[in-house]
Amino acid sequence: MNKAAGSSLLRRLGRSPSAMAGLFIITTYAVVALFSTWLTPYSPVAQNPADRLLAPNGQYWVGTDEFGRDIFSRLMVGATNSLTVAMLSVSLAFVGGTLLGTVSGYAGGWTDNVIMRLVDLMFAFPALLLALAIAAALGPGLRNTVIAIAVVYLPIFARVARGSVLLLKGLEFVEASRSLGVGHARLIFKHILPNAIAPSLVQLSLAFSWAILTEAALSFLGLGTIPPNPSWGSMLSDARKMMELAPWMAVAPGLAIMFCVLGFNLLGDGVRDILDPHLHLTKKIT
Amino acid sequence: MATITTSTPTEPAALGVIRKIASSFLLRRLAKALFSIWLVTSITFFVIRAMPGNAVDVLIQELTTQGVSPEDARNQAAALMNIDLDKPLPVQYLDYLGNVVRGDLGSSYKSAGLGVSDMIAQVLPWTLFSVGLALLITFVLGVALGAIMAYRRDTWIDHLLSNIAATLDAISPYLIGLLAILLFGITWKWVPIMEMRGAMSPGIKPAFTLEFLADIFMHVRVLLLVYVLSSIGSWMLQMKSNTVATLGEDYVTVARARGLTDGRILTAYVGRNATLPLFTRLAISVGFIVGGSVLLETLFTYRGVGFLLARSISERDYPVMQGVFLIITASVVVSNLLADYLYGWLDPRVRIAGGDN
Repeated sequence: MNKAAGSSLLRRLGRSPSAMAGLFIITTYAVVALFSTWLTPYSPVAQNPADRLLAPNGQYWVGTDEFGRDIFSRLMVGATNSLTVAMLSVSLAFVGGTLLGTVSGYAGGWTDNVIMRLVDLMFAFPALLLALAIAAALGPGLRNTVIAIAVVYLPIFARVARGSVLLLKGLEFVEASRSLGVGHARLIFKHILPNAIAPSLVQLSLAFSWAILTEAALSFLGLGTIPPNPSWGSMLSDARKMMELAPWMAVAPGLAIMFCVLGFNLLGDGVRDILDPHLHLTKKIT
Repeated sequence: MATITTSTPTEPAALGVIRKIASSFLLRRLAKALFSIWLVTSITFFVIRAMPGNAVDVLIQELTTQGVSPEDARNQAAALMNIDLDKPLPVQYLDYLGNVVRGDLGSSYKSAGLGVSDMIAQVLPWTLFSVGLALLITFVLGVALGAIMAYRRDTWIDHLLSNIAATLDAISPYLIGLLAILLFGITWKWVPIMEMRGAMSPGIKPAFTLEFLADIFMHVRVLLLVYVLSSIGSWMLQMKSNTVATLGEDYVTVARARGLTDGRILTAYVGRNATLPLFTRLAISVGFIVGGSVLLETLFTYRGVGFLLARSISERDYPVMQGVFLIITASVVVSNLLADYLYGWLDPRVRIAGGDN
């Protein structure tokens, strides 16, 4: 995408109130995630038995959990963990999927067939179950969670990239470059990829919201972030046992996840409406 | 050489038959489905058995640290995973495939001695019951509400239902589940959440009595509601857009011009065409029933397949995990296959063109 197209995209986004609301939510989360270490009012892991299970009050804005830990601080550090996993996994899925799809579409024939068969197979499964299977095989921890989520969402980017490459492959400028003797690598990276990337960018924001939900779900099941390091998903899981005594323990991370996902969805829908009103590629988490 | 010359006259006929079989839509899809199941089964085997730091090595190590001698640990692990560690890997792999084909999925190593197939058989009915019923309700309600939205387009009822559907579609199922527990169970105290745990009350006997049915309904009702709420949004929206598209077709205009009644147009023209893609989706969703919902069953402590999977993951019970994933794979693949056939059966246009795909 060139500079002019980029600035026009931003201008059109600025005119969409819901996309701007999404952008505002995401920016808030990003700031909290980046600076959580310095912003937290209390330590997110220090236990304080005297202040166990306190309802939201002036001192603890969203209350405390069963170990007397400040939930607000845990939410903030949870944002860092969730967004880190989402960012790494989406980047990995984006780069890997786009490359795979490009190669598949460009090479065609047998290579294309094998790659797309695998992609179809992965597409057939519910996203969460696939992520669960991979994460369960690899074990908990940041790196494995990132890999599991990246693998699950890689096929989406592969499909989108392949679609655009197939379209571009037949266009005159590609043929002209080829007849001038441009090599495969140069043709792909210099001529095809820059033009094929826009539809994949549309998927980025939506992929972020899926990645956040998947990370929360994995952590909820004890596979993602390792405790006592807080994550929204594991906070929900802890809250489950305390539901009757301390409902705020569940409400707080629940709302944190919901607003974060809402932000990415709003922005994603805005970008999609501008770039490609016909694209409807979604994968729901079940 | 002699055999070739003598068989020459018959060969074209035989080849023709083979080619006919190979090009059959039905058989090709079946082969593809079997291939998918084999592929996933094999990947599972090699991940669990052959990767560095794999489940078998971890299990042996775990047993050794519990004070079992290395020799015994190896034997126990082999017995639990249903493999012979002394055989070369390819032979183990063939044994494993043979066992899977016979339905022998090994034994759990946390719930000592329990066969994985038995464990799955125990929880499967609950998941089939709860998710299946929810799917049925969602489908019927979603189709009906979606059609209403399309027929009453741009009226207050369309706006109201569209907004509700879009909102429900955007919230993830486990947040809806949490909200349901918080509101119904804690804030309003409509349902006793502690008693609702499990699929049925401990004292009750599974029989076809009113008491039993009332009891299992008591346990499943909120979960059912959450399933329906979390999936109905996208069904409604899909049905609405299908119906709107169909209402704009020329054949509907022609039917109107011919003076057919609205009821006749709805059932024979619009309904049939608008619900087609939804039936395919229904068939695919049937495959997802088996997996249940890992998150919701855990949240509601409902003892179905998802609950078993979540527990096996937290206990690192690899044979159980492996078994559950295999069952889910098989049902997903088979339902995709069914969806293909169903579509060809419901829509003759696809059936005629089907051979080319």
